[in-house]
Amino acid sequence: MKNKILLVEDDLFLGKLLKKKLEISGFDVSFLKDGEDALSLAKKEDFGAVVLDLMMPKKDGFKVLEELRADEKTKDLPIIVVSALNSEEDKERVNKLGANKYFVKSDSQLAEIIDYLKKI
Amino acid sequence: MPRSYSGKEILNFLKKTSLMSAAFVRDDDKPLSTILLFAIDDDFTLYFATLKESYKAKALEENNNISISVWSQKEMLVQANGIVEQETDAERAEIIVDKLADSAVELDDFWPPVLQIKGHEYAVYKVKFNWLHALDLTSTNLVEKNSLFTEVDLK
Repeated sequence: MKNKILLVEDDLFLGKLLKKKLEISGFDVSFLKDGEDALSLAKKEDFGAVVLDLMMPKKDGFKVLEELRADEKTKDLPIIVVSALNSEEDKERVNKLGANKYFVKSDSQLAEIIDYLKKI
Repeated sequence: MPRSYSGKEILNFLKKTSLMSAAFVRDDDKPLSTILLFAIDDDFTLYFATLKESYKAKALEENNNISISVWSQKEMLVQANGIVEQETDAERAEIIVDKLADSAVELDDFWPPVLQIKGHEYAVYKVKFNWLHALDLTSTNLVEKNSLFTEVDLK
């Protein structure tokens, strides 16, 4: 279960690339493009961690994070936010909602995210 | 002497090489060249993507010609010209994006840094080549009077 990752990203190319790179690193990845489907799957299946974008259709990452932390099954699940949002306000909000790590897309490399997940 | 190649050898080289230099004609008729990630099928159909609002996408709206070069030091140079067509079918475009992700996944330090590209609106394209040739770069014995390129019959 530890190596099972729920990847939630609405950028198709980035999502597919990160999924493939994680799979090469030995992770089992479920890739979904919207928050609503991701929330539903997280409550059904057991994951070792969630990689979560913030700006997404249907249900945004803030709401997904909030609901995951409110659910008994997923309240302790490691959640890594990967987002283009870069304001202190957004970072503070994500922190308060209980994310374990925040990667700002413009300041990060895919390898950094993968390395972080390997250490969880 | 430089050697000639089979179509399959050229295809294999293109499949293991993920980046190409591509040239377009801008809407003001000036040239535009860039580096692009690509993927290729067994029938030499080539795929690439760019952001919908990019200069490349705007150039292709006016002129769908493309000229590409794919090169590896001391191995092979492939040059080709073709016609670009945008894939508008969402399902087929997703399959192409998957091929492009496959092509990018082996690059350790993938450039451009995908995490730093703002916006999600990709335009996905396929290219049908009308001319393609390859040059053996393993040989140091070049004879300039004769063509050293292997022409590939794409028909």
